[in-house]
Amino acid sequence: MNIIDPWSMARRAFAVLFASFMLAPLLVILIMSFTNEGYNRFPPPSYGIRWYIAAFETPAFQQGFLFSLKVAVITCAISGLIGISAAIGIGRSESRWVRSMATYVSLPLTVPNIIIAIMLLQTFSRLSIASSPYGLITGHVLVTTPYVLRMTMTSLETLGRQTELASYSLGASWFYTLRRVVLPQIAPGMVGGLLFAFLLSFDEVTISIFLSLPGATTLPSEIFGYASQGDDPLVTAISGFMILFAALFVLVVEKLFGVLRLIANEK
Amino acid sequence: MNNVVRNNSAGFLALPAILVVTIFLFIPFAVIFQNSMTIPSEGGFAWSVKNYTTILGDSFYWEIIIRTLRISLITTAAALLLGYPAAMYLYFSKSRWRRVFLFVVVSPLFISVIVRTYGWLIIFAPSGALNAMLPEALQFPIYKTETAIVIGLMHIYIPFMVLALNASMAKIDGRFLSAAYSLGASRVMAFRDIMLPLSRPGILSGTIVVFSVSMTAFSTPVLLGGSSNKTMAYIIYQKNILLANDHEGGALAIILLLLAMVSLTVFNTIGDAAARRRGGAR
Amino acid sequence: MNATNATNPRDRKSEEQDAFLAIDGLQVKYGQTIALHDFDLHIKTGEFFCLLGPSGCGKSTLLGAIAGFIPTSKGRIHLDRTDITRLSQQQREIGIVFQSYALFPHMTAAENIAYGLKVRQMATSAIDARVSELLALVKLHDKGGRLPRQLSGGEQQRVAIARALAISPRLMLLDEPLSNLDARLRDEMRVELKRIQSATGVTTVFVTHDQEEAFGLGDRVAVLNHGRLEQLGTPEEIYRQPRTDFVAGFIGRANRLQGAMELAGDVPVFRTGNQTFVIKAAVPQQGGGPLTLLLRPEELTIGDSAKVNRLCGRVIDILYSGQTISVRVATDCGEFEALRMSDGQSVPAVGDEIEIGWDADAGHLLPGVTERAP
Repeated sequence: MNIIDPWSMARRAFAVLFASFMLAPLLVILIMSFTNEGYNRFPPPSYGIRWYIAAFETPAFQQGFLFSLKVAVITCAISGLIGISAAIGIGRSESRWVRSMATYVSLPLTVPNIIIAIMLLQTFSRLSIASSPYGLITGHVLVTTPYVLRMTMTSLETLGRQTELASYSLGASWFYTLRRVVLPQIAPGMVGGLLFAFLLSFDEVTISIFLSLPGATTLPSEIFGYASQGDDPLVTAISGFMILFAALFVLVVEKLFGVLRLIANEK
Repeated sequence: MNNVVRNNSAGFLALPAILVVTIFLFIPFAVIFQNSMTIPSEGGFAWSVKNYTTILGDSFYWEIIIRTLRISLITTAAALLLGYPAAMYLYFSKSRWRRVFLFVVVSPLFISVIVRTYGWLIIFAPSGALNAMLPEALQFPIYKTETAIVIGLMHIYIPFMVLALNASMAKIDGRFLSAAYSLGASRVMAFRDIMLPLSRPGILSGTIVVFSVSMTAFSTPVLLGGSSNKTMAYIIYQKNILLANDHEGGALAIILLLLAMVSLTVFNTIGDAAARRRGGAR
Repeated sequence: MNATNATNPRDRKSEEQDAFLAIDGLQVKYGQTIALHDFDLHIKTGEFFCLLGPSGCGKSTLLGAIAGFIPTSKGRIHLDRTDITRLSQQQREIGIVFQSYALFPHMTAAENIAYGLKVRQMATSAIDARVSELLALVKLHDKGGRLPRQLSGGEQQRVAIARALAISPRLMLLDEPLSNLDARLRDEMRVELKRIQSATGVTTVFVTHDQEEAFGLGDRVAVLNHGRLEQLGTPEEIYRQPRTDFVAGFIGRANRLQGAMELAGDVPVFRTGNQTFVIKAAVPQQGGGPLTLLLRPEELTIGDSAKVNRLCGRVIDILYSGQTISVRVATDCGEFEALRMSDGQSVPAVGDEIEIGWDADAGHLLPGVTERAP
């Protein structure tokens, strides 16, 4: 039936409009970030990379970027360690009580980030411990561990128990089996979870803003500070940089796992 | 190797994560709860509900609570109305554009919320992209309005809605629709009788997720709404960071948490009622 | 062309005019791959018609094209003399029973059956009457209030049939409806299907990959392969006189011998190597080209010296399967499989030297040289 179906036309038109809406703010940032003028104007009268250079030379952004990287790496290491270990402990247990711990560890996801931020802010101030980086990393660990746990557990479930049982039947110990049979096979899920934790921490805004201290501020928090003063070509450029950084990251993840499979369970 | 021995020895691997959650979620909650229930007094603190009564007795806060609820509701409704056809496109499309579309929907999740918000800021700003593209007669003030907040929040959280709907539609066998058509149902009927009721779990979970994140969102309403459109998150920031008032700040945080929980209960009740009405119909 | 299956042109003409469902020159493409090639098929009123073939042969595609959810690129489909090729699924009024049943999971059995009637805005009382009538027809009187997940596989199947019948369809399409049932239930449902079909008299097209199902149910059977019609006929015709090697191989098992016909005196014989056999089967081609002799395992006897054709060999394998015993015999002409009833009589043992034999009117000839079945 090659009749032009008005429904499919409408569907396609909607898809195009929806996709444009999704991409609009990102495209506007990318276009405006390459302006050569001293002010924001759309579309830019002339193009250049002067604002990127200016942004890279801004100490607040330099420090923010390095600080964000450090926080994200440490977060990723801690939540990776406790998340993967919990996934193995929970995922291979038959006790209902232990299995329910997956929900317990995921509890921070049900608490809004702003509440986590306030709770940690007041607690760390009560303990007289600097909220940044300690409170900040704690907060990020709380919100990223559930993802590492879930992704690793999903891998474990898809893997099934057969190779593991085969290893035991061949006389291998539990630890040896874990090391040589289980972990190598669930590596994609683990690495996926770690990368996700890294990016989540690197991108996180609310906890970062509430807990950051002078000299210990993440890049998203710095951008928030600048952006609350209004539009600024310097912020546009650093935002453009964040988009390109994420794009590079997504590209790597896509090559390794397929972004869609990771997020939308697409084959 | 004995199964029982193996399971008992492996269970403790979850301990570090359990401890982290217990220590850093429950103790801090106890701390803000205590802060919210005390007021400074000479030589220490005294138990009191004054923080709550002050806030709940002040129309200034009620205005903010109502604005927060209004913005979250409109954002959620808009995300559902726009996200549903998007999820339908994903459900029905078999072309190679399907993957492209899914990628476009999902990939903004990898970009910081602050960047996506800033994108809308430079679209809505007086010298921004929107006004630059509209003829002067059609230009309208949108910067620092509730509309700006709603559009920004909807853009940021709509991927969650589409993914939730997509997950629940993926379970709908395409043959249900074929069967309905073969029995004479029109597209509208098949949508009303099959698609909509069977995607209800996705509608519910998408609505709950988008509503709760919209309600507690911080940077987007602050940057796009400004100080004349304060939401709960905004005054929590003000109280805790700018005024360093842990007591009223803690009370505000707990009020927001309660509001979110009550709203979710309401949504769940509505969802259950809809499911029951449907199931009981004969 | 084909001696055994030659059709009188006049007969074919009248068959086409009598056809209730007429498919002419139908083509279906998925992208670049052609799923159905210029396909012709004519089905009579009230017939129980089976489409049989391996997975991917195009039988489900054909079903989808008739139902209207698979777009066709060429050809026409007529139902009761009206062209339905361009009609929407809704307008075709064809009942479909899907392999997975596709029962609406959120509606009860009765609501599922009532759906097509509600869509037609029938009065509630009339709907209720029709639903109970159908529930009775499929023997589910007391289960109307249950949701699909509260019904067994066989019951879901019955609801699916009742739902399709509710709209008084002009044609019923059944897409492998028995494949999700266990063996016992399958036999039961086969009887049920036949009963329901003769009770309603609705013309039915049944798609399956199972020859037993097709032969047990079908008034006529069409064998499909690679999107083409291999053979059309009654189950008996297809089994006894397979027209192509594919049909011979797909329908039951067969022993094959390569050779040619020649005359021994004035008796036509089939020669393979230095052996000759007396064969009365019709020769599919003139001029003495290579032929394949097809012998069904049950046509072969073991140790019966009264048979016209005999071959010596050694038993290499014996397989018991309930009622029958399959004996594999290695001979000078290759391996043979013979089937005999397990009637308690002595069975040869592996390694025994025995003689297999068959009558002159056994066997069937196919043109050309074909691969021996493994």
